Amino acid sequence: MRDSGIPGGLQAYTDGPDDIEEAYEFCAVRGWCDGLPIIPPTPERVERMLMFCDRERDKPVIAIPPRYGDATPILLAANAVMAGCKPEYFPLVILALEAMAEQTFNLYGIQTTTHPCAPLIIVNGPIARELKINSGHGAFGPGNRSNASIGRAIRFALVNIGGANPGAGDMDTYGSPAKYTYCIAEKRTTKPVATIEPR
Amino acid sequence: MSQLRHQGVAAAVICSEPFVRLAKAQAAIAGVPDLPLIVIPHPLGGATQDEVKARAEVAMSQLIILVRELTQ
Repeated sequence: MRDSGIPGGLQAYTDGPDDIEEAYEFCAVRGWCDGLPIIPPTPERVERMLMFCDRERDKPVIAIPPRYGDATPILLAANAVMAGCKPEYFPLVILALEAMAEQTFNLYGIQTTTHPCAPLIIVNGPIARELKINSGHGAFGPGNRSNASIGRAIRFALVNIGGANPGAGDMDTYGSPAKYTYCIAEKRTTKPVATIEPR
Repeated sequence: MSQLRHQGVAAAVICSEPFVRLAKAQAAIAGVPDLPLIVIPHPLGGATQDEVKARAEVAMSQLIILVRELTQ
């Protein structure tokens, strides 16, 4: 990765504190969180997250713009820990970012634009039920761990690895609450809305 | 713009003040950290005709300096 000049960038937590309040402060002053408390990404917690990953832990899944930081499973796992993900959520975090790597998605544009947009993760299939991702009442609101932490982990990766720091890599004019977390499941029983499933 | 620069063509990017940091970062990533920037006041949207002219004058003075530097 070339030095982009964009500040921040979570590369390792080897010097980070274990205490939860100290860790919160440690990450907040470095711009590694969304302003809300985080779980310290200690090596033990990162290892537990990686137990649900069958990929090479040092092989980048995507280079996230505009910093083009290498999103390796180990770095993504650290962000998922910080966001409060259960390890079983982790494959979905990787998959969502992998989808964003498709050229036609234009992640660079989404990350840097003045428009207050954020990628929305819509989860389809049995995994949505298995992980209890809310697709019903209040799906876009607070109150559900999987919706909240999966979306938050993705946002952490976009900022901490990709460099979408407000006013530096992300030029969004006034921001959006969707940039805290933005993940729901598809509700299959409701018609006539068509499914997102590939046909 | 970075591709033009790589080909040796005189090239610069016009950007408004808040975008300077991002522009420099992207130029570095694209391998042209010395890509010249012509910096004008922000915002662009909603500017009156006089404000647009003022921005053009700000840009033009920088452009003249840049062309002189590049042709020396």
